[in-house]
Amino acid sequence: MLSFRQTRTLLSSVHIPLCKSWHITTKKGLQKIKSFPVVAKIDADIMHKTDVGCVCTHLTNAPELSQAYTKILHNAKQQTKNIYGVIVQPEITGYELIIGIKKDATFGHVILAGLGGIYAEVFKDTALRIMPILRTTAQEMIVSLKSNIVFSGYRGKKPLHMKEIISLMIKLNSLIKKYPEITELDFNPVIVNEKSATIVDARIIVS
Amino acid sequence: MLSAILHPKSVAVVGASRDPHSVGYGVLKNLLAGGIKFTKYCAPFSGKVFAVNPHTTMIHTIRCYPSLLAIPYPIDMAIICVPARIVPQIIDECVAKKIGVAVIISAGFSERDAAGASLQKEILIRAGKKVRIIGPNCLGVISTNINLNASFAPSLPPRGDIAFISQSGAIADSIIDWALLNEFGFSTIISYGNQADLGVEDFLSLLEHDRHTKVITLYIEGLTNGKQFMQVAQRVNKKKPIIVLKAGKTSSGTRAVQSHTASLAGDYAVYRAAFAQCGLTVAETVEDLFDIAKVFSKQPLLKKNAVAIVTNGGGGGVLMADYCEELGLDVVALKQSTIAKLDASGVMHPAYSRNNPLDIVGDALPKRYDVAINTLLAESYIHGMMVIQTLQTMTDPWGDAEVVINAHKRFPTKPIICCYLGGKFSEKRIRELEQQGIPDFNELKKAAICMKALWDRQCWLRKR
Repeated sequence: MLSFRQTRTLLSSVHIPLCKSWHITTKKGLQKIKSFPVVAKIDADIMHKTDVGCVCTHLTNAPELSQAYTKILHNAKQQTKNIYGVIVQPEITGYELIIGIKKDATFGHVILAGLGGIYAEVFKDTALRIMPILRTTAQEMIVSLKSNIVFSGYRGKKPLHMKEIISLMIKLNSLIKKYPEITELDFNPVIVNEKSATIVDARIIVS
Repeated sequence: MLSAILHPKSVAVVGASRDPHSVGYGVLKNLLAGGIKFTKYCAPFSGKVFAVNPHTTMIHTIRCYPSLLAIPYPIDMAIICVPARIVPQIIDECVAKKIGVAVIISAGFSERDAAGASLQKEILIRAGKKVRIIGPNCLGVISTNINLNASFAPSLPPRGDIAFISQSGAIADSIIDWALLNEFGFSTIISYGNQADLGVEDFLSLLEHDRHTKVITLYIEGLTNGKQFMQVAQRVNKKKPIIVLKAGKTSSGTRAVQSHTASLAGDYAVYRAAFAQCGLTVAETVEDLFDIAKVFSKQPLLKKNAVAIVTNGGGGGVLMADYCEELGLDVVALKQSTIAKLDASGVMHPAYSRNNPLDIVGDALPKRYDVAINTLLAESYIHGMMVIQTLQTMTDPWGDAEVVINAHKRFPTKPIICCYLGGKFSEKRIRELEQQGIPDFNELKKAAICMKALWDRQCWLRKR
């Protein structure tokens, strides 16, 4: 699995932006962070960070952030030795989507999109296609989801910024063309609201 | 060269035998007579048949040659039934004799063990693409229009325009027996075994231009080259509908999953995505596979998602409407003008449903079915129809069948599927319906599934 820094570099090569993030390796580094609320999470080889106390949300000031930083590092050390730092990001609200890639033994790279977050595997509201995909295919995938009713604006709410999601999906065609050695990729969650779509967590595994 | 698979003019059975329990005995008999168990569909192969066995000079009334090279005639197809370890030298003979295709029925290759896998590699090397191979470890090849039963299936199936390509010989076998009972016709059946050389993609390309085949059905367990399959399948599917049944096989790779995506994108889900991208119709069961094939073969596609249900039994109509809704088929409301036409006919029962499903009531006679069916099909907002018949004392299955058959002729662009519910007293009329191109099912849900398939395919073709 690639580290946060490696992931960010790889994605920027195909113009896929990650959420604005500070990569903190010392307590002093926390002082750079002036706007709140923020989210803090561990940058380490841990699959379910939330489950093991390595994600802290809604931190509204510096002392809270400092406390969270200590706690996260402590919890992470129980899970793995490979710890690269703590990532701090501005807290964004919206719906959680998942966009991902898997290298299938028979069909090559496949792309997945759907309802994300920690319950992704419970609700399994996803669409799958063999890559590379056309823009129209990406659109079909989103429309096919049960959750599309919500994305389009449900019970008086405004529709979500799905155009950005479609763009992201198309950019992944270029990513695997450039780096076919990628075997798994998760953008989970991508937080989407009326104005924006932001990749808040990215995990890339290469062979 | 590959056309020899569908239309060989001469075949040779290597490993022909006098032992009635052997494969070599059965295959030879199948070619000479059409089948081991005699049925009305059995007939001798239309081309020349030769037998090869160095240990005997006569089997089943024909001369037996000591080797392929001893046969004083060109051979298009060799059917090989000898033990696995002898197959390599037979392939050498095929190359020398310039035989284009070898169907290797023998087992004992990559499906058995590592030694078998090397043997399989060996025969490929020796064949060197000069001899193309079907199998090994397969049931064989059947082509009904030339009475070619180059397999060890017990009989030729009835003739028809549906092809079946199967990864499982056992399934192909059982389908043939089922086809005999149900008078279901096939053009070609290929059981392709281990896919050492020719695979599903090759057979799809072959059937693309075969004038005897209108619909292609596939039973797959696993593909070797997914992208290649998608390319060919998508191309062929534009011309002829391909329906696929995929058996889920647990993947042999057990790499630990490290992402949500990998855990969500399971093997079967990926196959289904690939099939959907190619526009293939996916069947859930063996029955669905051939039900849908039958309907694609006989009826036009559904041009708009707007169907009508005509029934002489309320219950049947409601169930059919339920299945339609579940599947996303629109059972359209009848317009006032349509109801007015039905009223004006003077034959409708006073308590008829005045809606869709159109329940024309239990005592309906052919005249009432005639008015109901033709009035609705004539409407520009109705594009397909299911006709349900339940059997009461006065019901006339023969008259009702005639009505449906004539309606189909009058409205050839609108699909009609029948459900003559019951069995004993409707059997004969069902056969008549089927013979005249109207598919019939004794299960309402099947009709809905097939109508949905007609709609899905229409949608996909429109997008191309």
